[in-house]
Amino acid sequence: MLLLRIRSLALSAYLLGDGMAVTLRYMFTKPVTLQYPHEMKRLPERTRGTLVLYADIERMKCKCTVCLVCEVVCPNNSIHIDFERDTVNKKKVLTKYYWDADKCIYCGLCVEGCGFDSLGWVPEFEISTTDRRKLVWDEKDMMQAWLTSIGRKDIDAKRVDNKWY
Amino acid sequence: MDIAALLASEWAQLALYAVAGFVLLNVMLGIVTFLVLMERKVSGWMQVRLGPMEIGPWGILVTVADAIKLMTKQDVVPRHVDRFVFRLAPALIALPPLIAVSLVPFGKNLIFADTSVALLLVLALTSLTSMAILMAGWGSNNKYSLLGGVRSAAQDLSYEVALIFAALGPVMLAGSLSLQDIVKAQGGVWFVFLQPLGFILFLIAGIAELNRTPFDIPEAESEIVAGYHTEYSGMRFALFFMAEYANMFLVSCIVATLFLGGWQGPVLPGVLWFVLKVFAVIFVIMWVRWTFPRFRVDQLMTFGWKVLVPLGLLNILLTGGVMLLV
Repeated sequence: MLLLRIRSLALSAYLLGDGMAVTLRYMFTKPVTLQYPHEMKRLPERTRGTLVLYADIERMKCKCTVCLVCEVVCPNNSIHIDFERDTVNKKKVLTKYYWDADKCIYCGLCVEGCGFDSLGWVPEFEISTTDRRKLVWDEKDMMQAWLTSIGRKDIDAKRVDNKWY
Repeated sequence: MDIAALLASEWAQLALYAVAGFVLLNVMLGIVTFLVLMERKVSGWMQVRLGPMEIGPWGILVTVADAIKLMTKQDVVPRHVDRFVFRLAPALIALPPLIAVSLVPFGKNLIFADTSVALLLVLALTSLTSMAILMAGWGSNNKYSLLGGVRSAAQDLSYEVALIFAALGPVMLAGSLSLQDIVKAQGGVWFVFLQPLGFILFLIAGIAELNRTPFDIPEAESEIVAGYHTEYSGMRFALFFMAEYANMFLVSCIVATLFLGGWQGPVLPGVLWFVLKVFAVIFVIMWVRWTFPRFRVDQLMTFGWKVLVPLGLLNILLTGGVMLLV
């Protein structure tokens, strides 16, 4: 009986030491912290960061054909489109494309619904401002966001590949 | 006025003591500041993360920011507390470690007050801490605080017995209660090698006295809100916080003095050895905190009385027996 006691005591001492060894090993493992403003994670290309309109760069026009699918399919009406009919060939012409970045739930139904490849996602997520009115984007803002994202050399320099898994 | 006579007079002595005491107090506050940062960084590294990094380079000014934050908070005194006791508790808990540090030998001639009963005084002062926690728990007029306070009182007095039994080993080996004498008696071999059981017992009982995980039932956040310091805010809470780290420093100093040879050591100056040993013990205490889950209250009391006290008695028996035979 006493032998059992001593053996269990020795076993528990060994196990306590084993636990402490685990913690010590963790202490010398490289930390997984990504220090955000100084280091940024490389996000996948299809990350739902910000909605953008792809622009025809030479003519600075978006490819939107005003089919209105994105406005209709949006679950909480974050997209509003103003258009007028071209008097000559009765086609719809875009005057204003409003996107509420603050109301949008970033579900992506509009991008999936667009049949003309004019709406898309970019991984840019730092779009917060201190003025709420600046969060309602028009088509110029959205095209500018796309142009900025393909040309953002400074973000690429900051993006650190922090694979630890 | 005769300068030599003035300098040798009693007034000069008193003034010198006052200045030295002031310096010691500030050094203690500085050490507490550093310990809070050390805890946050070490706990971060043990959890595979960095600790605070933004405030000051590598986060070193974090405790300063914490202190400023706590000092600028509103001092809330709930309406139906026992006012005298509520206000006295934080002050009473912060003082004993600051006083007891003056009894610890930092170097060969670097001791503030070399009394022949230093160890007894230190243990008596740590008992004051348990009384202050009980006052905080009672004075808060809050059932959770009261529960935390009485659990802490029970835990503190149980582990006090184990602590004293473990501390008796070095006293028997050195033949004196004076901390400076105990350190001097470790010139040949440190007591940790002569008394391994005593060392383990003292360390465990010391962690329990500090109310630190795995013995932190009185203040465990998930169990009892914040236990006995639930109702304290701002500077009062800062005093509790500071007292915990000052106590941790004190217990580590006593461990280093009793078992690890104090300021004894070959090449380096005594103070440096002492500092190294104390911070090694502090690291071990933090390491234990971030490794183990906490004890349940009944497990805690069982462990204190049924395991540590008998082992402490066994330690005294063995020490005495070996001393008699050798």
